Amino acid sequence: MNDERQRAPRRADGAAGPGGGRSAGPDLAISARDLVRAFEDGRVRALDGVSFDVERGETLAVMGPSGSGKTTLLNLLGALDRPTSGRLAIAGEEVVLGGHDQDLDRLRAREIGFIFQLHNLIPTLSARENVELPMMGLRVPRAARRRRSEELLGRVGLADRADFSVKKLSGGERQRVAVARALANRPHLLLGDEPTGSLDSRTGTEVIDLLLELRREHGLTIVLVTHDPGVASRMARIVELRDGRVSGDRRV
Amino acid sequence: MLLAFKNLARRALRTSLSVLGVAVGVGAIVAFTAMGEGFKASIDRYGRDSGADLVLVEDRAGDPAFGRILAEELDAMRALPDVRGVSASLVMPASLPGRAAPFLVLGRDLEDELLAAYRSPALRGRLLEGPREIMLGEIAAEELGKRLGDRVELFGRDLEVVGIFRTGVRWENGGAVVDARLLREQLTMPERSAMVAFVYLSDDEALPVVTLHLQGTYPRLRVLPTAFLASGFEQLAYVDAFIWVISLAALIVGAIGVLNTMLMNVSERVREIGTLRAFGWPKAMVMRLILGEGLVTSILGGIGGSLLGVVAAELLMELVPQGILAPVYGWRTFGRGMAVAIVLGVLGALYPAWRASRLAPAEALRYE
Repeated sequence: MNDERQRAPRRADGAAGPGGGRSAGPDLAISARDLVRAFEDGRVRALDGVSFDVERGETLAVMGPSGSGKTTLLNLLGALDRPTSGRLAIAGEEVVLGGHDQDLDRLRAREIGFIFQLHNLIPTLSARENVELPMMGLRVPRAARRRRSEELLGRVGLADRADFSVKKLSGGERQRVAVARALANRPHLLLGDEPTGSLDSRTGTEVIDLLLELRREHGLTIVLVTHDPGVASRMARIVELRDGRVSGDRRV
Repeated sequence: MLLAFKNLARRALRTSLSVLGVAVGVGAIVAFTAMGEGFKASIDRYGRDSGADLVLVEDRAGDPAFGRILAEELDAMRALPDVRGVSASLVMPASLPGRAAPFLVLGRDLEDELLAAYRSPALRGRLLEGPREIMLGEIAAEELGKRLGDRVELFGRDLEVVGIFRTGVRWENGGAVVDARLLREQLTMPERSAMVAFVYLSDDEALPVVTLHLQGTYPRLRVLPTAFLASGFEQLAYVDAFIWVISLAALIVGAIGVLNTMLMNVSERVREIGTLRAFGWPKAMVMRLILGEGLVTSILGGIGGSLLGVVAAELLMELVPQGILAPVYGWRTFGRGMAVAIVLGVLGALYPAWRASRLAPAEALRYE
């Protein structure tokens, strides 16, 4: 696990990377400038000029009422979608407006780990097989996948559950499998969409504790979208959105 | 591939029905191919067992049973150097009381080499010596309950069973051999003429020369090595065409089954596919996953269909009273079935795979 940060930050020198664009600086995990994401031929602006930077290793909560643009922003930060206009760089890779989908695929595979509210595990697979899935996308050899998944499951306290079907795991255990899966490809950026939303408060706290431990160990940047002020207060910084704009940005 | 298996196992009943759909189509192909191949093999065996070197069939007739080779032509062939003998062969289906299956009656000239071939591998009694005699195949004799010395009523004649033979050809064992004159009379064919001629050479090495000569002299006749007699039966090509039509029907029905199953599988797993795309799985990889599931379905169907086809062919053989055919299970039989299965797997999964690969990850993750 200690090799997480031994890998030098890639393409921090300004060279073109998998995102297809230039670097936005070596110390920034995210650089967003005037991000606009419009739908329905521009009639609906889910994001309307959002700008902020996130430093490497920072923890950030994105809050805001429903419809404020949180999920749209998370999709952009996760390279799941492209902005209509504005500039966005993730882990030094610029997300080019008209770029190739393959570039975003590579960016997601290498730089970004996702944790979802409903864990999104594949129910017919074991915990280990679920953790191996992101590595399959990068064509990691089977033996290396197995080693890495067992190491990660050990780290999240599920070494003895590795070969269990995820259907037999509790909600908290499933979310820990999802955390292990998110780290499979050694990403720099971890994105969570209400990662504790389906857990009871004690289990939710345990999952946040685990994420913060992993951040300390690997220097991860964590961005969580949450409605829960308790979860948000565990992050170092809170960005609030309202009507697609940043309405607040404070350090906790 | 493991992932494909596990995904299919999630909806075991749906997958099983889809596999069954493929298996039924493949089973029909395997059964009909096995029977078609069996029939061809039996014709070739019939040619080989004659002991002759060449066989002449009339090309334009389509079915050699409609062919006519005149006595003068046969005599001219007999006069060729290196030709030891030329035998006439005639065949006619007949019906016998109490027997539903086709009963093939072969006509042979007496004291002829083609008739003498019935001595081996097994002949009880003796060869024909006159027009009031009949030799029965072993299966026919058993089914008719006839023994040597018994009498059989055929073409309005009362014939004595003088021999009971067994050859390597099933339909021949289910038939009979009579004096060729009887058949010529029934068919109003000229004296000493033939439907098919078997040519015996005195020197094997003369085969190419004699073949060329016969081809040049008798352009309306096809000159075939006896081991490839089946290629002289144009109607066997129709059997092949029939099998391909069945294959096509199986392909369409099976592919629709696979298409339906895979479309349902994809529509149920939109969020899951979105998750895989979120991890950076490229579109091509998602496509391969769904295609893999289609292929697994169709290969399982192909294996099941091959077994089903063998069972169906054997059952059909049981239903035919005298089993005039013996199915042959060769690489061609199963190869055709598996090839059709694989093609329909790919065809059926192609569109669902394309659809799955086109899902926008952000929208797929929101899918309820």
